[in-house]
Amino acid sequence: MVDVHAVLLAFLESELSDVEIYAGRSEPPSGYRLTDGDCIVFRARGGGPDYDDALLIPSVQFKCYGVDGNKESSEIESFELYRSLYDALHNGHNSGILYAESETLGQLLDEPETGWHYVLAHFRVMIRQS
Amino acid sequence: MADSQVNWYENDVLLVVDEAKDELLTRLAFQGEGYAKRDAPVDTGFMRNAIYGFGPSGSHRAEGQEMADPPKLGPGEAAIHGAANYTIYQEERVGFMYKALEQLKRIAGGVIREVGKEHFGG
Repeated sequence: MVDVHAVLLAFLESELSDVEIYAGRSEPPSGYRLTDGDCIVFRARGGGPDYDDALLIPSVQFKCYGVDGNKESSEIESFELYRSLYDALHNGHNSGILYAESETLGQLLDEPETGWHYVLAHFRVMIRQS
Repeated sequence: MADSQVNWYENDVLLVVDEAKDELLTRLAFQGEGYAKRDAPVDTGFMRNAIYGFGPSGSHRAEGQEMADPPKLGPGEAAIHGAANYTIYQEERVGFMYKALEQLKRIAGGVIREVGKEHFGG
């Protein structure tokens, strides 16, 4: 079985530069600081194989944390980061990903513990099994 | 050729179909509510108790303080509402609502057959 998080991480790292990307997580790791710059965390939340097992089709949750020039959490930069993610992933494909599409559009929220702004969004991704 | 006549009571048929559709949607919402409550994380129990299903034929909403207003439904829609304002943060971490909807998708065919039998016989 293909590693969904590894395939997506490789794709996003090739498409998005200067962004910290963490796979298989619901929030940034404890070592992350806003001074590290923009950050995306993602994890598969469900899904399954297609009928002939050629594809895995997970629904993937993304959280985009944008940081402004003063290294502070920013609503505007979070949406900017989300738009970059959308442009890269919606209709995106490579050797590991057959097709990806937006499932729910981004929603702006605040982390209860840190107060950081982020945009929550979901994508459906068709990942090749071989 | 024998005489024959077909009477087509269109409005009556549409009424039965509409009632069946509304009941189906509402029943699916109630079933989904059950799945979501089963898997919801529990601390005080408020978040779990604030989950309810509602549709065109009914609602399980219990009025209480601190509960968000129900979302507006369009025609032919039903919903499962997590009315505690922090439900979204638990959903991000656990995904219990999404899991409930996946399970609902799997059993929907059975519910459709059940409601269909009740309204159309067979």
